[in-house]
Amino acid sequence: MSKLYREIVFTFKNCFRDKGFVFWSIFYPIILCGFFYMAFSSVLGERTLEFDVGMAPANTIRPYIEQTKAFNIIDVEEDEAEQALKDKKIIAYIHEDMNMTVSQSGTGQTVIQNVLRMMKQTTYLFKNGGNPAQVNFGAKYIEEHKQQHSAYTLIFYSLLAMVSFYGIFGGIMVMENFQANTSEIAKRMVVSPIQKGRFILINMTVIFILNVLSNTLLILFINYVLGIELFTDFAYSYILVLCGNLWGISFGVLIGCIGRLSSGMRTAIGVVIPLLLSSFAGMMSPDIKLMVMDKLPLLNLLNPATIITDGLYRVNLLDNHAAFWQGAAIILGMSFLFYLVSLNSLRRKSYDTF
Amino acid sequence: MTLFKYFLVLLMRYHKTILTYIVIFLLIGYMTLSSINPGESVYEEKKVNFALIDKDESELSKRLTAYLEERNTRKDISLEDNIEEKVFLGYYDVVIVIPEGFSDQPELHKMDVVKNALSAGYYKVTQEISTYMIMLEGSKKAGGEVDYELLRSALDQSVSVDYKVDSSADIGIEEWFSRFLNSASYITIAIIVLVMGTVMSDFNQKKIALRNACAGKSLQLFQSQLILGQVLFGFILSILILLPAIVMTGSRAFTPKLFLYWLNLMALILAILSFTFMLNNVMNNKHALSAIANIFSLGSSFLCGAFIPMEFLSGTTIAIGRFLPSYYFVMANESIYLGTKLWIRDMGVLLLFAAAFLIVGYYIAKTKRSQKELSL
Repeated sequence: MSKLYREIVFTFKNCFRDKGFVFWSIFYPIILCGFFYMAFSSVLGERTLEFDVGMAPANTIRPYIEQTKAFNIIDVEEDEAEQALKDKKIIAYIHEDMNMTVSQSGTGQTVIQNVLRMMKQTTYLFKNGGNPAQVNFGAKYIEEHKQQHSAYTLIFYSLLAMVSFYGIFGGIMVMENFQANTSEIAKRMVVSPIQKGRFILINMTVIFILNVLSNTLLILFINYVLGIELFTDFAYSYILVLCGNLWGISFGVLIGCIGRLSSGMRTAIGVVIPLLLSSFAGMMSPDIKLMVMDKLPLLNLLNPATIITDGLYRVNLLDNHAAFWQGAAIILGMSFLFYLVSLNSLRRKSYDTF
Repeated sequence: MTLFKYFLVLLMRYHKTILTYIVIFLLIGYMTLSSINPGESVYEEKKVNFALIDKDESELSKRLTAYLEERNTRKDISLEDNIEEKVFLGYYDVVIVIPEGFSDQPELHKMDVVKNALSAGYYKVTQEISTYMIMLEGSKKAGGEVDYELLRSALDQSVSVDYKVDSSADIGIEEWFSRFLNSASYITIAIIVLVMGTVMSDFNQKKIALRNACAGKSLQLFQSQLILGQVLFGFILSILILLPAIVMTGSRAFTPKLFLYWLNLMALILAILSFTFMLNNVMNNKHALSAIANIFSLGSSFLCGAFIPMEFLSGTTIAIGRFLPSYYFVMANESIYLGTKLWIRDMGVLLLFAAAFLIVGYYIAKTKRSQKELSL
C-alpha cells in the first residue's frame, strides 16, 4: 500500500513539475474563459433591439414612427438616403408616402415594413367602415416569456466540455511511456522490472484526478470570479464532467496506442479533436451548433461535447434530467470501446530491437 | 543564400501543423458559408421560424395562425416538447401558445410567447400578432361580429419597397468574405507565432547563435535573409488562406475588393511576423512560444471582433482591443466591405505596428549579439 501511495505522490509531483502541464491544464482554460467572458459579457444579458431608420426631419409621419421603441431615427434627407444605406448608417429609409428604400433584405427591414404596413392598413380600415372606437391601441394580447439565460451561456458549457477532454494529453503521455518504439523513457520502462499494469493504472488515475481538479477550478472561476451562475446542480454537472474526463483519457490512450503516429501528430490530434467537437457543440458560435443539428444529426447525437454541453444546460438551467443518463451512457460506452480497442492493440506487443 | 535555404528546410518540417490549422478553419468557414444566402436580386420579407400550439381552436385562432403562416415558416412542435429548451437551442425564433378562451376574452387570456433572445425575429412575429388583433378589433361591427372581408382587405394593404442594390456586389458573399477574413486572423496569428517562433528559436539556440556570430556574415545580411524567408512564408500563408475561400465561393469572389482583402491580410501578416521576430529575440523556449501563440491568437481574436462582430463587444473590450493589430485588421476588413476608404488608415496602423516591432526586435538582437561577442 505504501508503495502505491509513494507512486501516486511521485506521479503527482512529476505532473506539477512539468510547467507545460500546469499551464495547459490549469491556466489555459481559465485564460480562455476570461477571453470568452470579455468578448461575450455584453451579450450574456438580454439585448435591446434597435434598428437604425433614416427619415427626413420634416417627414410628417415621423411622430408616429418615433413611437416605436425599437427604432433609432436618424436624420437623413431624401437625396442622401442611398449613400446612408450604402454606408450602413441606416438599414431602411422611410419616405413621406409610407413607402421605404432598402439596400438589403433582413429582419430589421421587415420589421420597419410591418410598421409602415400597419399604418396603411389602419388608414384603409378606418376609411372603409372600420370602427376606431372599438380599437384599444394600448391593449396587450401577448404575455412574453424571455429566455432566462442567453444562448451564449452555451459557449461556457462547451468550453467546460472541451477542457474536460484534456485528459487526452495524459492518456497519450502514459501510453508513450510504455511503448518502446515511441520514446526513450518507454525503452527504459519496457526493460525495467516495474509492474506495468499497476503503473499505467496509477498514472491514469492521477491524470484523471488532476484534470477533474482543474475542471473544478474552472467551474469555481466561472461561478465565483466571473459571477456567471451557470452551475446550480453540482452533482449532475460533475457526473457529466467525470464522463468527459473518462472519454478524454480513453481517447488519449487510443491515440497513444497507434504506433505509426509521431508524438507531434498525436498532440496535434489531442488539440484538434476537442476543439472541433466543442465547435460543433457551439463553442465558436451557436450558429454552428444549429447547422450540425440540422445537417448532421448523427454527429450531434454522438458528439460527447454536445452531450455534455446540452446536459449541463438542461440540468443547471432547466432542471430537466430526462435525457441525462442516455447521454452519460453514450459517453461511457464510447470510452469503454476506446479502452477495448487500445487493449487489443497493446496485447502481445513485443520489440525485436530498440 | 545558405541561411535562406536552411530556413525553408526548417519551415517545411511544420507543414502538418500549418495544414491542420488551415483545414479546421476552412471546415468551420465552409459550415458558416452554407448558412449565407447568395446574392439577392429582389427584396424579400424575412420569414421567422415559429411554432404554435393552439389550445383555443376557435375561428379567430385559426385565422390568426393562417395569417402568421403566410408571413413566416411554421415548424412542428408537440405538447411534450420542452419549449424553453427548444427555443434556447435555436429550433425556433419564437413559440406561441394560444390558450383556451382566447377568442372570447383575448385581453384576459393572453397568448404566451416564448422568444429566442438572440433572434430579432420574435419582434416581427409579436408585431404581426398585435397588428392582426388591432385590425380585428377595428373590423368589428356594432353587434360585435367581425367583418372578415373588411379585415382581409385591410390586411392586404402593402408597402412599396424600393430596393437599391449595387448590381456589381454580391452582398451575401462579400459579408462572408469579410467575416471569413476577420476570423482568419486567428489562424494567421497562431500559425505565424507558433511555426515561425519555433523555427526562429532553432536559429537562436546558443550553439547555433555562436556559430553564426563567428561565421563572418554581417548582422544585416543574416537578418535580411531571414526576413526574406519570413516574407515568402507570409505570402504563401496568405495564398493558403485566400485560395480555398475563393474556391468555395467560386467566381463570385472575384470582385475588385478581393485584392484589398489580400492586401489587408498581408499587412496583418507583416505585423505578426515582426511581432514574432521581436518575441524570438526576447525568449527562446518553444513551450512558452506555443503558449503565447495560443493566448495571443485567441485573445486578439476575441477582443478585436474577429469572432464576434464589434457591435456585440463591450466598450472596455474594444478599448483593450485597440492596442492589438487584429483590431485594425478587422476594422480595415469592415471598411473594405462597406466600400469606405478608412482601410487606408487601418492598414497604415498595421504597418506601423510592423515597423515598431521590427525596430524593437532588431535593437534587442543587436544588443544580444554585442553581448555574445563580448563574452566570446
